[in-house]
Amino acid sequence: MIYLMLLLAVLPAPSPDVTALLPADGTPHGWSRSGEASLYEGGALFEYVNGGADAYHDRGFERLVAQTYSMGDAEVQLEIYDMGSPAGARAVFDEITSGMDTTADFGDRSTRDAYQISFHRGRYYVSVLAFSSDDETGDAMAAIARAVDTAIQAP
Amino acid sequence: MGKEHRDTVDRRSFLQAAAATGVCLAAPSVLTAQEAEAKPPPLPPVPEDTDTLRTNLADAVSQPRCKWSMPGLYPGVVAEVKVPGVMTDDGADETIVAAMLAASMKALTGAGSSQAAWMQFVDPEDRIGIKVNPVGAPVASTTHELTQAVIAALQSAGVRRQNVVFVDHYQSQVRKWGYSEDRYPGIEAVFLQHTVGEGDAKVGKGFDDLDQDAFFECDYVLPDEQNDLEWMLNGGPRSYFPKVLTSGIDKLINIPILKHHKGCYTTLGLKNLAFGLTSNCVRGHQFVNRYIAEACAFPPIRDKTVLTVLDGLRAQYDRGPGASPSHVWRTDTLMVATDTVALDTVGFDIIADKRLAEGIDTAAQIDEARARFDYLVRAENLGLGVHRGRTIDRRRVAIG
Repeated sequence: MIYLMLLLAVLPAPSPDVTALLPADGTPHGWSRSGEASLYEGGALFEYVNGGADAYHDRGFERLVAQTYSMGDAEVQLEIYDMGSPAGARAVFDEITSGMDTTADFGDRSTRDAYQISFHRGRYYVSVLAFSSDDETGDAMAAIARAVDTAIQAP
Repeated sequence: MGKEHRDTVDRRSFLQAAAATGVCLAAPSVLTAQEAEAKPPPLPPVPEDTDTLRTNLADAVSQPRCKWSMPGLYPGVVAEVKVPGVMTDDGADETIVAAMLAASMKALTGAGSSQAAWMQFVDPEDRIGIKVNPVGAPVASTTHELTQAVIAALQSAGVRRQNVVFVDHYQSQVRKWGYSEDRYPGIEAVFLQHTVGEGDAKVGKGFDDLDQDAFFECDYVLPDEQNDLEWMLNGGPRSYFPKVLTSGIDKLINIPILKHHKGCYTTLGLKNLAFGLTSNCVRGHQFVNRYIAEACAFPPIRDKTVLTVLDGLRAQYDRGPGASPSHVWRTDTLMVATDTVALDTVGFDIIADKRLAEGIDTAAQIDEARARFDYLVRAENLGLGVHRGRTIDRRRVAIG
């Protein structure tokens, strides 16, 4: 038994289920998931973003879940990157948002413009992307980002 | 699956099998492997001078050229049409896009009609491949309006619709871009790679559709961990061209976009071909200048890409290649060339000028990028087109 406990102590902790962080339908009211979530692990990230994947791999990327949310014609694209460690998440956030003003509105630090909210919290880098800049879509981006941020902090 | 794949028991599969059988609780060697799980092996070092890497480029250069070989029928010529307002919030105006394409083709060729211009490049019996750039959809990828206009122009030149096929790397990217049988009825899409399964179980399929006799070889090889062989089609030193390119089509029409790329400053025509039409290309980002120029020097790309239509209706000047809507601007421009090197030279300048205007790069940083990402110089030295060797003939045309 002691041997087993020691053994478990040296084994790496299992990776968390990143898909569990996806907000449910109705976040915010009227918005729902559009299609299936896509999960990319390791080198498969190249399938998602080709050469852009290097910026993540260099910083410890483990997996990405991507999910589109929609209401009517409006769409928001949520990407949650499990970077394996807070340092990795912070590093990729710094790389991707370099030159932008950061706030504490979401996660440990965040950036926001008309089309995108980015933040890092713990081992996760999160991007919420919209393709239109109207107020309603902006509100949806913020609600989705906040829901993910809350889920990451849940015990 | 390929030899490299068949002969490899990848680490993930090994661990899964070990866990399933309970071996991991008793075997010290498995503990070692699991410790490695927490810290992937680093990339093999890239030589400071990537020219010391050995490739089979000599095989490509020794292959006889044909009339279509890059730079094609019009070396050093780029025809350009700009129509302010062609892009709207709802997309591009299809009628104007078709007129822009017709005008640019006439300017390139000197032909009296769009049909005559296209007939310089295609025959009714040809099987035509189309390579779009699907990355960054829906705001930073090839527009469907232009793609439809190209297909219509091919048909006007006598090409049968069922002989047109989309050729691309990843099935999932092209689906996300918006390819469907409903949107492109009668036009098939062929991919180097499609995946089955999800997450841990995701594996790549398509190795048997790669041409084992046509490959770009380089002795920079990623370890299994970086190649993720359970997902990639093949690792090792070879990047194969697909059979659809070597024997499935007669000619290829390249429809890239104007976009910034973190890894090589821009992604334009040559990169769309080199990385979009070869397997095992992930490693290519470690020697990106050579990969872009040299992969395009091989006959499957060099001799079949008869025309590049650069979709500059909108462009992205930062944070590419993924979509960043905040950095997309309407450029309302379309350019055509047989000389993809010349076209990329013009495109590079457009992105650089925008980054300068936006205060992202200084002039010195742009000069540094030109020197660092020298794949256009290399392509010119390989005889693929005009970069700095002589003045590019930019033919700007207006339409009413």
